[in-house]
Amino acid sequence: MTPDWTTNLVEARDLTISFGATAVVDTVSLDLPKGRITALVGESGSGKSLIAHSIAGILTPAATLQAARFGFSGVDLSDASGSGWRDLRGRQIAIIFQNPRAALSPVRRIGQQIGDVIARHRGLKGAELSRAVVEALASVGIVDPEARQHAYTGELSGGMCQRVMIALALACNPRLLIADEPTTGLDNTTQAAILDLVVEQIRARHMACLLITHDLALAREYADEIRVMHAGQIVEEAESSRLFSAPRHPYTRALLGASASQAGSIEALEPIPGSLPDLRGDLPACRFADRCARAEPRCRIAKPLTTGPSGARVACWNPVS
Amino acid sequence: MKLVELSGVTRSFASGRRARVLAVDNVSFSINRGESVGLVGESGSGKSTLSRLICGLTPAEDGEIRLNGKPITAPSRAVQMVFQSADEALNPAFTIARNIAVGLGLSNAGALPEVRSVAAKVGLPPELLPRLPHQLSGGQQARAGIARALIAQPELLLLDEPTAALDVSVQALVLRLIDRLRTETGCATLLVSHDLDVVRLMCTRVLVMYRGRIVEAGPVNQIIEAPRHPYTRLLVSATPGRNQGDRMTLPSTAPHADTEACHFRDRCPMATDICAQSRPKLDDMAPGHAVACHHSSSAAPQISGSGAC
Repeated sequence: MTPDWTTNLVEARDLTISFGATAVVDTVSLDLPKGRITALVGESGSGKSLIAHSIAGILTPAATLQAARFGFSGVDLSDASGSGWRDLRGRQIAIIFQNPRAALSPVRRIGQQIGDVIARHRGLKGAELSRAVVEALASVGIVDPEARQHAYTGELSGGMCQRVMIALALACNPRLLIADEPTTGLDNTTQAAILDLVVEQIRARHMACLLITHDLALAREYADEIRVMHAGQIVEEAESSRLFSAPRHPYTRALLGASASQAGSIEALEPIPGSLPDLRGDLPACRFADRCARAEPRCRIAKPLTTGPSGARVACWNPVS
Repeated sequence: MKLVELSGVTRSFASGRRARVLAVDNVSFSINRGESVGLVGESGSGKSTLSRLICGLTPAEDGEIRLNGKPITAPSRAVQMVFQSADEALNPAFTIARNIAVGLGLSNAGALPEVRSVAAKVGLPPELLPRLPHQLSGGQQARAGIARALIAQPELLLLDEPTAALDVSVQALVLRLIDRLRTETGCATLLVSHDLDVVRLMCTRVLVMYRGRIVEAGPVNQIIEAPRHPYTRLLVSATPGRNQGDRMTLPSTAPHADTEACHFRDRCPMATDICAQSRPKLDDMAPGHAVACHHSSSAAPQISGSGAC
């Protein structure tokens, strides 16, 4: 199949990220369509952030990356030294992290930090640059941006810092926004305000968005598409509404059963048996096999193919129908 | 039968050179024996200060806290706390056994039989007892933190965001464990959380706190399904999956120090002159359901617009 760059901004086929002989992301295929929000959900250690880092080009040098195809609108992302790629980073791909206070400098005013990025990527100077900084802050709902641009991160709340981070990420009109647990640690009311803002910007600018979260209720509310990851493998790909009404992979069902937001009572809350497998050891072909009540002998020998119609694809030999 | 009773409890802290922040402002409520109560509110609302007051870790400036009818002035063995980040709450230089024994006020592991039995109760395998906290997983550390509290055989367990840092599956395990222990020991629980879904599963009654005051209190289902205070409505609508298209995103503003006003009035779409002039009382709307709002009998407002946070 040839890449479809009119629909998708990013296409990954059989992406594998390894540390030595250990594949921590195992032959993952993922498309990020324009104007849509794709959520990657799973327990910590499932490889979600590594995929985000590989797309953003900030993968640790200790890791090796292989892919049958890994492209951003025609530019090859698997060659980190390629000049085409370097041009993408910062200007076309932006990332916001879990802890905005750690991602921003504590010793420079927030306006200066946004100004640095705009000057570097859009080449603005002087009054034009100042105006762009104030506009960027205003666009993320910061009240009184003229005064606030002189603040340090220590003078701002966690929610405000995340707004600054989003302003920084959006300042160069990127085409892809990666949001890695953007609201973990924030209050629910702040979380709702931040994510409403992200969604509004994604729709208005027709950007692609990769939302990484462990919170299924959050993914359900904000994402159009959901990819469920377990131990480095994508086990289910579904439209957001379908995933919750008819989950097909046993792991997806287990994840829903363990979520407080989905349970009707404490008795209905079912922890997932076992824990994520040690990826350094001998792994069954389907990495969920040891935790799965529906596992068959072949699950250990042959990796399940991802099958099903678009919007309802599952990688399981014995899916729930 | 009342286990803990707070009346007019107040505590403030210095903030900067002259200002003081009223963290807990004239709060009164009670917890019955064996009851499971939730305490919700955003960061800075005074939830943690309130639990430290009940625990005797922070003295009150005004008002009184009674445990079984007697005033609490110092930490009591009958009230135990499970802290938010288990890894920080355990002494990194102590073995797990010694950390658990600390709950009895001992600094040696002479209490080993008790330690072993409480470890079994929380599902901590005995081979983990000689290990150090950093050698345990997050879920195991959480269990050790609960064991440390439980060994003192408390009548009230204060749980400060016990699962906020845990993965979904481990969270489910720990919540089930806490629920089982509550039933087995008959110990009352006060669960501090900003996750309404966790509170819905774990508690029968919930207290909603805003800027140091309790603004609504009542049965958990009533509060989540039909919140009466505008702030509670904001909190419920901001919970993922509970947005009915009527999400309230109201600006947050600087805290007020004035006691003779409603603290929520600047964010409140229903605010009128009276809200700036008098403090709303926590009045019963229905049996067991109290609301502190001058306009609590008015219909739910439609709110839109974005704001700062």
